[in-house]
Amino acid sequence: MGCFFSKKSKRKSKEEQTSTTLESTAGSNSVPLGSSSDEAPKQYSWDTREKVDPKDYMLNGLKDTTVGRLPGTLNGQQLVIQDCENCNIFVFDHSATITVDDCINCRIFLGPVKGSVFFRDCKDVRCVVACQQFRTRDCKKMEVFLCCATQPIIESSTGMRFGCFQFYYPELAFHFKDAGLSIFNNNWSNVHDFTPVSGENNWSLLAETAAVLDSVPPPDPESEFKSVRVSADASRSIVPLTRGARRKDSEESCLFVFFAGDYTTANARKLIDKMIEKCFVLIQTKEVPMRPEDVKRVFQNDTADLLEWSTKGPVTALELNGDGVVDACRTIANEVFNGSKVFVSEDKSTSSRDVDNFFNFADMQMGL
Amino acid sequence: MGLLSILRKLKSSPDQEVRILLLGLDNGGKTTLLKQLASEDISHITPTQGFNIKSVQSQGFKLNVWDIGGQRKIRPYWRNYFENTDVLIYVIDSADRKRFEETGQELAELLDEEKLNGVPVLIFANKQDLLTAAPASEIAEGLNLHTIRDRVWQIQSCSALTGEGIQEGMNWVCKSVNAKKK
Repeated sequence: MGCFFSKKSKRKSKEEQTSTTLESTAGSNSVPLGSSSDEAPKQYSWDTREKVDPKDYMLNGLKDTTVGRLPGTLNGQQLVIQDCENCNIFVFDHSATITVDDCINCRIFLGPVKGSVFFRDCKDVRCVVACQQFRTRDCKKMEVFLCCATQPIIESSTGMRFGCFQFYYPELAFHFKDAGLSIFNNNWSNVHDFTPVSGENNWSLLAETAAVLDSVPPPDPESEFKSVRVSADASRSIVPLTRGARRKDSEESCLFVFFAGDYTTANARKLIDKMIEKCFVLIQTKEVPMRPEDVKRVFQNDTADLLEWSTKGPVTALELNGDGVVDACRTIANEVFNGSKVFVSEDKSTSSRDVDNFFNFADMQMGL
Repeated sequence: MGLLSILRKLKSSPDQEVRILLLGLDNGGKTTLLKQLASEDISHITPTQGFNIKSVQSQGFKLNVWDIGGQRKIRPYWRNYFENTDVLIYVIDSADRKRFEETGQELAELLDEEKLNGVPVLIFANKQDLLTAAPASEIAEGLNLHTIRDRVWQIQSCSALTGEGIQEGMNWVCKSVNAKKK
Protein backbone atom coordinates (compact mmCIF):
# COMPACT_ATOMS: atom_id res chain seq x y z
CA MET A 1 0.00 0.00 0.00
CA GLY A 2 1.00 3.57 -0.58
CA CYS A 3 1.55 4.22 3.06
CA PHE A 4 4.85 2.31 3.04
CA PHE A 5 6.24 5.06 0.91
CA SER A 6 4.72 7.89 2.86
CA LYS A 7 6.90 10.79 3.85
CA LYS A 8 6.72 10.05 7.57
CA SER A 9 8.04 6.49 7.16
CA LYS A 10 11.47 7.65 8.22
CA ARG A 11 10.23 8.14 11.75
CA LYS A 12 11.43 6.13 14.73
CA SER A 13 10.98 2.49 13.88
CA LYS A 14 8.63 1.61 16.74
CA GLU A 15 6.16 4.31 15.97
CA GLU A 16 6.44 3.69 12.28
CA GLN A 17 5.49 0.06 12.57
CA THR A 18 2.31 0.51 14.52
CA SER A 19 1.41 3.48 12.44
CA THR A 20 1.83 1.59 9.19
CA THR A 21 -0.14 -1.47 10.15
CA LEU A 22 -2.98 0.55 11.53
CA GLU A 23 -2.99 2.90 8.63
CA SER A 24 -3.43 0.11 6.18
CA THR A 25 -6.40 -1.31 8.04
CA ALA A 26 -7.95 2.07 8.52
CA GLY A 27 -7.21 3.11 4.98
CA SER A 28 -8.72 0.07 3.38
CA ASN A 29 -11.76 0.61 5.49
CA SER A 30 -12.29 4.17 4.58
CA VAL A 31 -12.61 5.16 0.95
CA PRO A 32 -14.99 3.97 -0.20
CA LEU A 33 -16.44 2.83 3.09
CA GLY A 34 -16.14 -0.84 3.77
CA SER A 35 -14.90 -1.85 0.34
CA SER A 36 -12.23 -4.54 0.38
CA SER A 37 -12.43 -4.96 4.13
CA ASP A 38 -12.54 -8.53 5.39
CA GLU A 39 -15.84 -8.43 7.21
CA ALA A 40 -19.06 -7.32 5.59
CA PRO A 41 -19.66 -3.65 6.30
CA LYS A 42 -22.21 -2.99 9.00
CA GLN A 43 -25.59 -1.87 7.77
CA TYR A 44 -27.00 1.21 9.45
CA SER A 45 -30.56 2.48 9.35
CA TRP A 46 -29.47 5.19 6.89
CA ASP A 47 -28.00 2.59 4.53
CA THR A 48 -31.26 0.74 4.26
CA ARG A 49 -33.85 3.51 4.33
CA GLU A 50 -35.61 4.67 1.21
CA LYS A 51 -33.65 7.21 -0.79
CA VAL A 52 -35.24 10.64 -0.91
CA ASP A 53 -34.74 13.65 -3.10
CA PRO A 54 -33.03 16.29 -0.94
CA LYS A 55 -34.90 18.93 -2.94
CA ASP A 56 -38.10 17.86 -1.23
CA TYR A 57 -36.57 19.13 2.01
CA MET A 58 -35.42 22.46 0.63
CA LEU A 59 -36.84 25.88 -0.12
CA ASN A 60 -34.23 27.20 -2.50
CA GLY A 61 -33.81 30.37 -4.58
CA LEU A 62 -37.36 31.72 -4.25
CA LYS A 63 -38.44 35.30 -4.73
CA ASP A 64 -41.57 37.35 -3.94
CA THR A 65 -43.71 34.37 -2.98
CA THR A 66 -45.47 32.63 -0.09
CA VAL A 67 -44.23 29.08 0.55
CA GLY A 68 -43.77 26.54 3.34
CA ARG A 69 -45.29 23.40 4.76
CA LEU A 70 -48.82 22.61 5.93
CA PRO A 71 -49.42 20.62 9.15
CA GLY A 72 -48.46 16.96 8.71
CA THR A 73 -46.38 17.47 5.55
CA LEU A 74 -42.90 17.86 7.08
CA ASN A 75 -43.62 15.54 9.95
CA GLY A 76 -40.44 15.76 12.00
CA GLN A 77 -37.99 15.83 9.09
CA GLN A 78 -35.42 18.53 8.44
CA LEU A 79 -35.76 21.59 6.24
CA VAL A 80 -33.15 23.71 4.47
CA ILE A 81 -34.18 27.24 3.53
CA GLN A 82 -31.72 29.15 1.34
CA ASP A 83 -31.31 32.05 -1.08
CA CYS A 84 -34.84 33.36 -0.65
CA GLU A 85 -35.71 36.99 -1.17
CA ASN A 86 -38.81 38.87 -0.14
CA CYS A 87 -40.70 35.68 0.74
CA ASN A 88 -43.27 34.73 3.36
CA ILE A 89 -42.34 31.29 4.66
CA PHE A 90 -44.65 29.30 6.92
CA VAL A 91 -43.62 25.98 8.42
CA PHE A 92 -46.78 24.91 10.22
CA ASP A 93 -45.30 21.59 11.35
CA HIS A 94 -42.68 20.14 13.67
CA SER A 95 -39.23 19.32 12.33
CA ALA A 96 -35.86 17.82 13.25
CA THR A 97 -33.67 20.83 12.45
CA ILE A 98 -33.77 23.86 10.16
CA THR A 99 -31.02 25.96 8.58
CA VAL A 100 -31.84 29.32 7.02
CA ASP A 101 -29.04 30.66 4.81
CA ASP A 102 -28.56 33.75 2.65
CA CYS A 103 -32.13 34.97 2.93
CA ILE A 104 -32.98 38.64 2.54
CA ASN A 105 -36.11 40.51 3.53
CA CYS A 106 -38.22 37.49 4.49
CA ARG A 107 -40.92 36.79 7.04
CA ILE A 108 -40.62 33.29 8.48
CA PHE A 109 -42.70 31.18 10.87
CA LEU A 110 -41.05 27.97 12.11
CA GLY A 111 -43.17 25.53 14.13
CA PRO A 112 -41.48 23.50 16.91
CA VAL A 113 -37.98 22.31 15.95
CA LYS A 114 -36.67 19.37 17.97
CA GLY A 115 -32.99 20.29 17.52
CA SER A 116 -31.34 23.47 16.34
CA VAL A 117 -32.37 26.38 14.15
CA PHE A 118 -29.37 28.03 12.51
CA PHE A 119 -29.60 31.34 10.62
CA ARG A 120 -26.52 32.28 8.55
CA ASP A 121 -25.84 35.25 6.29
CA CYS A 122 -29.39 36.54 6.57
CA LYS A 123 -30.51 40.14 6.47
CA ASP A 124 -33.78 41.88 7.27
CA VAL A 125 -35.54 38.75 8.43
CA ARG A 126 -38.47 38.80 10.82
CA CYS A 127 -39.44 35.49 12.31
CA VAL A 128 -41.39 33.47 14.87
CA VAL A 129 -39.43 30.39 16.00
CA ALA A 130 -39.82 27.57 18.55
CA CYS A 131 -36.81 25.28 19.00
CA GLN A 132 -34.39 23.51 21.34
CA GLN A 133 -31.41 25.60 20.13
CA PHE A 134 -31.35 28.97 18.39
CA ARG A 135 -28.12 30.06 16.65
CA THR A 136 -27.14 32.83 14.24
CA ARG A 137 -23.91 33.78 12.48
CA ASP A 138 -23.22 36.71 10.13
CA CYS A 139 -26.77 38.03 10.28
CA LYS A 140 -28.02 41.60 10.19
CA LYS A 141 -31.26 43.17 11.34
CA MET A 142 -33.50 40.40 12.53
CA GLU A 143 -36.61 40.38 14.69
CA VAL A 144 -37.13 37.08 16.45
CA PHE A 145 -40.21 36.09 18.45
CA LEU A 146 -38.67 33.13 20.15
CA CYS A 147 -39.40 30.08 22.27
CA CYS A 148 -36.05 28.41 22.97
CA ALA A 149 -35.44 25.57 25.42
CA THR A 150 -31.76 26.51 25.85
CA GLN A 151 -29.82 29.76 25.76
CA PRO A 152 -30.09 31.46 22.33
CA ILE A 153 -26.69 32.37 20.86
CA ILE A 154 -25.57 34.86 18.22
CA GLU A 155 -22.17 35.21 16.53
CA SER A 156 -21.00 38.10 14.33
CA SER A 157 -24.59 39.31 14.12
CA THR A 158 -25.86 42.85 14.55
CA GLY A 159 -29.20 44.54 14.97
CA MET A 160 -30.78 41.44 16.48
CA ARG A 161 -34.02 42.01 18.42
CA PHE A 162 -35.81 39.41 20.49
CA GLY A 163 -39.34 39.02 21.80
CA CYS A 164 -41.40 36.23 23.37
CA PHE A 165 -43.00 33.62 21.06
CA GLN A 166 -46.75 34.15 20.78
CA PHE A 167 -48.66 32.07 18.31
CA TYR A 168 -51.55 29.71 17.91
CA TYR A 169 -52.81 27.32 15.29
CA PRO A 170 -54.93 24.27 16.10
CA GLU A 171 -52.15 21.66 15.79
CA LEU A 172 -49.43 23.71 17.49
CA ALA A 173 -49.72 22.15 20.95
CA PHE A 174 -49.30 18.67 19.42
CA HIS A 175 -46.33 19.85 17.40
CA PHE A 176 -44.64 21.03 20.61
CA LYS A 177 -45.17 17.57 22.07
CA ASP A 178 -43.90 15.84 18.93
CA ALA A 179 -40.76 17.99 18.99
CA GLY A 180 -40.18 17.20 22.66
CA LEU A 181 -40.40 20.86 23.67
CA SER A 182 -42.09 22.18 26.79
CA ILE A 183 -44.15 25.36 26.40
CA PHE A 184 -42.85 26.39 29.84
CA ASN A 185 -39.13 26.22 29.03
CA ASN A 186 -38.49 29.42 27.15
CA ASN A 187 -35.23 31.34 27.49
CA TRP A 188 -36.01 33.86 24.75
CA SER A 189 -34.51 36.88 26.52
CA ASN A 190 -31.31 35.28 27.84
CA VAL A 191 -29.16 35.71 24.72
CA HIS A 192 -25.43 34.90 24.61
CA ASP A 193 -23.31 36.89 22.17
CA PHE A 194 -20.06 35.18 21.12
CA THR A 195 -18.77 38.40 19.57
CA PRO A 196 -19.68 41.33 21.80
CA VAL A 197 -18.40 44.74 20.72
CA SER A 198 -17.60 47.14 23.52
CA GLY A 199 -19.76 50.23 23.48
CA GLU A 200 -22.27 48.65 21.11
CA ASN A 201 -25.24 46.33 21.43
CA ASN A 202 -25.52 43.58 18.87
CA TRP A 203 -28.85 42.57 20.33
CA SER A 204 -31.71 43.97 22.37
CA LEU A 205 -35.21 43.10 23.50
CA LEU A 206 -38.20 44.20 21.45
CA ALA A 207 -40.66 46.57 23.09
CA GLU A 208 -43.29 44.75 25.10
CA THR A 209 -45.93 46.28 22.84
CA ALA A 210 -44.37 44.83 19.65
CA ALA A 211 -47.07 42.80 17.93
CA VAL A 212 -46.08 39.51 16.28
CA LEU A 213 -48.40 39.93 13.31
CA ASP A 214 -46.97 43.39 12.52
CA SER A 215 -43.63 41.67 12.00
CA VAL A 216 -44.79 38.38 10.52
CA PRO A 217 -48.25 38.88 8.98
CA PRO A 218 -50.64 35.91 8.76
CA PRO A 219 -50.69 33.98 5.45
CA ASP A 220 -52.17 35.72 2.47
CA PRO A 221 -55.82 34.58 1.94
CA GLU A 222 -54.85 33.71 -1.65
CA SER A 223 -52.15 31.26 -0.50
CA GLU A 224 -52.37 27.55 0.25
CA PHE A 225 -51.95 28.41 3.96
CA LYS A 226 -55.26 30.23 4.21
CA SER A 227 -56.82 27.13 5.75
CA VAL A 228 -54.57 27.33 8.83
CA ARG A 229 -56.39 29.32 11.47
CA VAL A 230 -53.62 31.34 13.10
CA SER A 231 -53.71 33.78 15.97
CA ALA A 232 -51.04 35.70 17.80
CA ASP A 233 -53.17 36.85 20.75
CA ALA A 234 -51.28 36.54 24.00
CA SER A 235 -54.38 34.95 25.54
CA ARG A 236 -54.47 32.19 22.91
CA SER A 237 -50.73 31.68 22.49
CA ILE A 238 -49.60 28.11 23.14
CA VAL A 239 -46.47 29.48 24.84
CA PRO A 240 -47.23 31.73 27.82
CA LEU A 241 -46.17 35.33 27.26
CA THR A 242 -43.36 36.14 29.68
CA ARG A 243 -41.66 39.40 30.57
CA GLY A 244 -38.27 37.67 30.64
CA ALA A 245 -35.24 39.79 31.44
CA ARG A 246 -37.09 43.06 31.02
CA ARG A 247 -37.25 45.31 34.06
CA LYS A 248 -39.75 44.17 36.70
CA ASP A 249 -42.50 46.57 37.81
CA SER A 250 -42.43 45.57 41.45
CA GLU A 251 -39.99 44.29 44.04
CA GLU A 252 -42.51 41.61 44.98
CA SER A 253 -42.41 38.29 43.17
CA CYS A 254 -44.13 35.01 44.06
CA LEU A 255 -43.18 31.42 43.27
CA PHE A 256 -46.11 29.21 42.30
CA VAL A 257 -45.33 25.54 41.61
CA PHE A 258 -47.66 22.88 40.21
CA PHE A 259 -46.60 19.29 40.84
CA ALA A 260 -47.20 16.71 38.13
CA GLY A 261 -50.80 15.62 37.67
CA ASP A 262 -53.43 15.22 34.98
CA TYR A 263 -54.27 18.91 34.68
CA THR A 264 -50.93 20.56 35.37
CA THR A 265 -50.73 22.45 32.07
CA ALA A 266 -54.37 23.48 32.15
CA ASN A 267 -54.05 24.63 35.77
CA ALA A 268 -50.93 26.65 35.03
CA ARG A 269 -52.74 28.36 32.14
CA LYS A 270 -55.75 29.05 34.31
CA LEU A 271 -53.54 30.64 36.96
CA ILE A 272 -51.79 32.82 34.37
CA ASP A 273 -55.14 34.02 32.95
CA LYS A 274 -56.48 34.87 36.39
CA MET A 275 -53.34 36.71 37.44
CA ILE A 276 -53.19 38.73 34.22
CA GLU A 277 -56.84 39.72 34.76
CA LYS A 278 -55.67 41.18 38.06
CA CYS A 279 -52.85 43.04 36.29
CA PHE A 280 -49.99 40.93 37.62
CA VAL A 281 -47.12 40.02 35.30
CA LEU A 282 -45.70 36.62 34.40
CA ILE A 283 -41.90 36.89 34.50
CA GLN A 284 -40.70 33.37 33.74
CA THR A 285 -41.72 29.69 33.79
CA LYS A 286 -39.92 26.35 33.95
CA GLU A 287 -40.82 22.69 33.70
CA VAL A 288 -38.17 20.51 35.30
CA PRO A 289 -37.86 17.16 37.08
CA MET A 290 -36.75 17.26 40.74
CA ARG A 291 -35.06 14.57 42.80
CA PRO A 292 -35.89 14.28 46.51
CA GLU A 293 -32.63 15.98 47.50
CA ASP A 294 -33.43 18.87 45.13
CA VAL A 295 -36.87 19.29 46.72
CA LYS A 296 -35.35 19.42 50.22
CA ARG A 297 -32.76 21.98 49.20
CA VAL A 298 -35.00 24.21 47.10
CA PHE A 299 -38.13 24.31 49.26
CA GLN A 300 -36.23 24.07 52.56
CA ASN A 301 -39.04 23.59 55.10
CA ASP A 302 -42.48 22.06 54.71
CA THR A 303 -41.29 19.38 52.29
CA ALA A 304 -42.98 16.12 53.37
CA ASP A 305 -45.88 16.33 50.87
CA LEU A 306 -43.76 17.94 48.20
CA LEU A 307 -41.27 15.06 48.37
CA GLU A 308 -43.93 12.56 47.50
CA TRP A 309 -45.57 14.70 44.82
CA SER A 310 -42.29 15.36 43.06
CA THR A 311 -41.83 11.66 42.31
CA LYS A 312 -44.82 11.73 39.93
CA GLY A 313 -43.10 13.78 37.23
CA PRO A 314 -41.61 17.18 36.46
CA VAL A 315 -42.85 20.28 38.28
CA THR A 316 -44.14 23.40 36.52
CA ALA A 317 -43.09 26.63 38.19
CA LEU A 318 -44.08 30.25 37.56
CA GLU A 319 -42.71 33.55 38.78
CA LEU A 320 -45.43 36.19 39.06
CA ASN A 321 -44.72 39.80 39.84
CA GLY A 322 -46.58 42.85 41.19
CA ASP A 323 -47.39 44.57 44.49
CA GLY A 324 -49.55 42.21 46.55
CA VAL A 325 -48.82 39.21 44.30
CA VAL A 326 -48.08 36.80 47.16
CA ASP A 327 -51.46 37.40 48.82
CA ALA A 328 -53.23 37.17 45.47
CA CYS A 329 -51.50 33.87 44.66
CA ARG A 330 -52.36 32.39 48.06
CA THR A 331 -56.01 33.40 47.66
CA ILE A 332 -56.24 31.80 44.21
CA ALA A 333 -54.46 28.68 45.46
CA ASN A 334 -57.13 28.29 48.13
CA GLU A 335 -60.14 29.22 46.05
CA VAL A 336 -59.31 27.68 42.68
CA PHE A 337 -56.62 25.07 43.19
CA ASN A 338 -57.72 23.71 46.54
CA GLY A 339 -56.90 20.01 46.39
CA SER A 340 -54.32 20.42 43.62
CA LYS A 341 -50.72 19.70 44.44
CA VAL A 342 -49.12 23.13 44.59
CA PHE A 343 -46.50 25.14 46.41
CA VAL A 344 -47.00 28.89 46.85
CA SER A 345 -44.64 31.34 48.53
CA GLU A 346 -45.93 32.02 52.05
CA ASP A 347 -44.83 35.52 52.74
CA LYS A 348 -43.59 38.44 50.72
CA SER A 349 -40.56 38.76 52.98
CA THR A 350 -39.27 35.37 51.84
CA SER A 351 -40.89 34.96 48.42
CA SER A 352 -38.01 36.40 46.41
CA ARG A 353 -35.73 33.84 48.05
CA ASP A 354 -38.15 31.09 46.89
CA VAL A 355 -37.98 32.45 43.36
CA ASP A 356 -34.17 32.64 43.36
CA ASN A 357 -33.76 29.19 44.90
CA PHE A 358 -36.04 27.54 42.40
CA PHE A 359 -34.90 29.22 39.19
CA ASN A 360 -31.22 28.97 40.08
CA PHE A 361 -31.76 25.26 40.58
CA ALA A 362 -33.74 24.89 37.34
CA ASP A 363 -31.24 26.85 35.25
CA MET A 364 -28.36 24.82 36.66
CA GLN A 365 -30.27 21.61 36.00
CA MET A 366 -30.81 22.60 32.38
CA GLY A 367 -27.24 23.67 31.80
CA LEU A 368 -28.06 27.36 31.41
CA MET B 1 14.39 -1.04 41.37
CA GLY B 2 12.99 0.03 44.74
CA LEU B 3 10.59 -2.10 46.73
CA LEU B 4 7.84 0.41 46.32
CA SER B 5 7.91 0.34 42.56
CA ILE B 6 7.93 -3.48 42.56
CA LEU B 7 4.88 -3.49 44.78
CA ARG B 8 3.27 -0.98 42.51
CA LYS B 9 3.87 -3.24 39.53
CA LEU B 10 2.35 -6.22 41.33
CA LYS B 11 -0.81 -4.32 42.06
CA SER B 12 -3.33 -4.80 39.30
CA SER B 13 -2.78 -1.91 36.94
CA PRO B 14 -5.46 0.77 37.06
CA ASP B 15 -7.33 1.72 33.92
CA GLN B 16 -5.18 3.40 31.40
CA GLU B 17 -6.18 7.01 30.95
CA VAL B 18 -6.73 8.35 27.45
CA ARG B 19 -7.12 12.00 26.60
CA ILE B 20 -9.56 12.56 23.73
CA LEU B 21 -10.14 15.91 22.11
CA LEU B 22 -13.57 16.44 20.50
CA LEU B 23 -13.48 19.23 17.91
CA GLY B 24 -15.49 20.43 14.92
CA LEU B 25 -17.61 23.37 13.80
CA ASP B 26 -20.40 24.74 15.95
CA ASN B 27 -23.73 22.89 15.66
CA GLY B 28 -21.93 19.69 14.60
CA GLY B 29 -23.18 17.61 17.54
CA LYS B 30 -20.06 17.37 19.73
CA THR B 31 -21.89 17.84 23.02
CA THR B 32 -24.67 15.46 21.98
CA LEU B 33 -21.97 12.88 21.19
CA LEU B 34 -20.29 13.49 24.55
CA LYS B 35 -23.57 13.07 26.40
CA GLN B 36 -24.39 9.91 24.44
CA LEU B 37 -21.03 8.47 25.45
CA ALA B 38 -21.91 9.15 29.09
CA SER B 39 -25.51 7.86 28.65
CA GLU B 40 -26.94 11.23 29.62
CA ASP B 41 -30.16 12.93 28.56
CA ILE B 42 -29.79 14.71 25.20
CA SER B 43 -33.10 16.57 25.04
CA HIS B 44 -31.70 19.76 26.60
CA ILE B 45 -28.32 20.65 25.19
CA THR B 46 -27.27 24.26 25.28
CA PRO B 47 -24.71 25.56 22.73
CA THR B 48 -21.29 25.17 24.37
CA GLN B 49 -19.73 28.46 25.44
CA GLY B 50 -16.48 27.07 26.86
CA PHE B 51 -15.90 23.37 27.12
CA ASN B 52 -17.40 20.22 28.64
CA ILE B 53 -15.42 17.28 29.97
CA LYS B 54 -16.54 13.78 30.88
CA SER B 55 -14.78 10.57 31.83
CA VAL B 56 -16.19 7.34 30.48
CA GLN B 57 -15.00 3.76 30.86
CA SER B 58 -14.49 1.74 27.73
CA GLN B 59 -12.67 -1.55 27.17
CA GLY B 60 -10.36 -1.10 30.15
CA PHE B 61 -9.61 2.51 29.27
CA LYS B 62 -10.64 5.58 31.15
CA LEU B 63 -11.51 7.99 28.36
CA ASN B 64 -11.26 11.65 29.36
CA VAL B 65 -13.20 13.38 26.64
CA TRP B 66 -12.86 17.15 26.13
CA ASP B 67 -15.63 18.79 24.12
CA ILE B 68 -14.66 22.32 23.06
CA GLY B 69 -17.10 24.92 21.68
CA GLY B 70 -16.85 25.34 17.90
CA GLN B 71 -17.96 28.88 17.03
CA ARG B 72 -15.62 30.61 14.59
CA LYS B 73 -14.76 33.21 17.22
CA ILE B 74 -13.55 30.65 19.76
CA ARG B 75 -11.73 28.22 17.45
CA PRO B 76 -8.39 29.96 18.15
CA TYR B 77 -8.72 28.65 21.72
CA TRP B 78 -8.76 25.03 20.54
CA ARG B 79 -4.96 25.02 20.67
CA ASN B 80 -5.04 25.49 24.44
CA TYR B 81 -6.28 21.91 24.65
CA PHE B 82 -3.86 20.20 22.22
CA GLU B 83 -1.20 19.13 24.74
CA ASN B 84 -1.01 15.38 25.48
CA THR B 85 -3.93 14.48 23.24
CA ASP B 86 -4.05 10.73 22.53
CA VAL B 87 -6.83 10.77 19.96
CA LEU B 88 -8.57 13.55 18.04
CA ILE B 89 -12.25 13.08 17.25
CA TYR B 90 -13.46 15.50 14.60
CA VAL B 91 -17.23 15.84 14.27
CA ILE B 92 -18.88 16.89 11.01
CA ASP B 93 -22.51 17.81 10.41
CA SER B 94 -23.07 15.68 7.30
CA ALA B 95 -26.19 17.68 6.39
CA ASP B 96 -24.53 21.11 6.50
CA ARG B 97 -23.36 21.29 2.90
CA LYS B 98 -22.94 25.05 3.07
CA ARG B 99 -20.00 24.56 5.43
CA PHE B 100 -18.26 21.46 4.05
CA GLU B 101 -15.45 23.68 2.80
CA GLU B 102 -15.14 25.49 6.12
CA THR B 103 -15.04 22.26 8.11
CA GLY B 104 -12.45 20.84 5.70
CA GLN B 105 -10.24 23.87 6.20
CA GLU B 106 -10.47 23.65 9.97
CA LEU B 107 -9.60 19.95 9.87
CA ALA B 108 -6.64 20.59 7.55
CA GLU B 109 -5.34 23.24 9.95
CA LEU B 110 -5.65 20.86 12.88
CA LEU B 111 -3.71 18.17 11.04
CA ASP B 112 -0.94 20.72 10.44
CA GLU B 113 -0.62 21.50 14.15
CA GLU B 114 2.72 20.43 15.52
CA LYS B 115 1.27 19.49 18.90
CA LEU B 116 -1.14 17.07 17.22
CA ASN B 117 1.62 15.47 15.16
CA GLY B 118 0.88 11.77 14.58
CA VAL B 119 -2.23 11.84 16.77
CA PRO B 120 -4.79 9.34 15.43
CA VAL B 121 -7.91 11.05 14.10
CA LEU B 122 -11.43 9.70 14.00
CA ILE B 123 -13.86 11.65 11.83
CA PHE B 124 -17.50 11.22 12.75
CA ALA B 125 -19.79 11.93 9.78
CA ASN B 126 -22.59 12.85 12.16
CA LYS B 127 -26.33 13.51 11.72
CA GLN B 128 -26.87 10.58 9.38
CA ASP B 129 -30.41 10.44 10.80
CA LEU B 130 -31.19 13.52 8.67
CA LEU B 131 -32.53 12.71 5.23
CA THR B 132 -30.24 15.10 3.35
CA ALA B 133 -27.04 13.92 5.10
CA ALA B 134 -24.12 13.24 2.76
CA PRO B 135 -22.76 9.68 3.06
CA ALA B 136 -19.39 9.25 4.81
CA SER B 137 -17.77 8.19 1.53
CA GLU B 138 -18.71 11.51 -0.09
CA ILE B 139 -17.35 13.45 2.87
CA ALA B 140 -14.11 11.43 2.87
CA GLU B 141 -13.64 12.25 -0.77
CA GLY B 142 -14.49 15.92 -0.35
CA LEU B 143 -12.00 16.26 2.50
CA ASN B 144 -9.29 14.36 0.60
CA LEU B 145 -8.82 12.10 3.59
CA HIS B 146 -6.91 9.59 1.48
CA THR B 147 -4.02 12.06 1.31
CA ILE B 148 -3.43 11.81 5.07
CA ARG B 149 -0.13 9.98 5.41
CA ASP B 150 1.29 11.05 8.74
CA ARG B 151 -1.16 9.36 11.12
CA VAL B 152 -3.81 6.68 11.33
CA TRP B 153 -7.30 7.87 10.63
CA GLN B 154 -10.82 6.59 10.23
CA ILE B 155 -14.14 8.00 9.11
CA GLN B 156 -17.29 6.63 10.71
CA SER B 157 -20.87 7.55 9.87
CA CYS B 158 -23.02 8.04 12.95
CA SER B 159 -26.03 9.67 14.52
CA ALA B 160 -25.23 11.15 17.92
CA LEU B 161 -28.97 11.58 18.32
CA THR B 162 -29.85 7.87 18.03
CA GLY B 163 -26.42 6.54 19.06
CA GLU B 164 -25.96 4.50 15.89
CA GLY B 165 -22.35 4.18 14.73
CA ILE B 166 -20.80 5.63 17.88
CA GLN B 167 -19.71 2.30 19.36
CA GLU B 168 -17.91 1.36 16.16
CA GLY B 169 -16.07 4.67 16.22
CA MET B 170 -15.07 4.28 19.86
CA ASN B 171 -13.86 0.73 19.19
CA TRP B 172 -11.50 2.16 16.61
CA VAL B 173 -10.35 4.80 19.14
CA CYS B 174 -9.46 2.12 21.69
CA LYS B 175 -7.78 0.00 19.04
CA SER B 176 -5.59 2.82 17.86
CA VAL B 177 -4.63 3.79 21.41
CA ASN B 178 -3.68 0.18 22.11
CA ALA B 179 -1.52 0.06 19.02
CA LYS B 180 0.16 3.34 19.88
CA LYS B 181 0.89 2.48 23.51
CA LYS B 182 2.27 -1.01 22.94
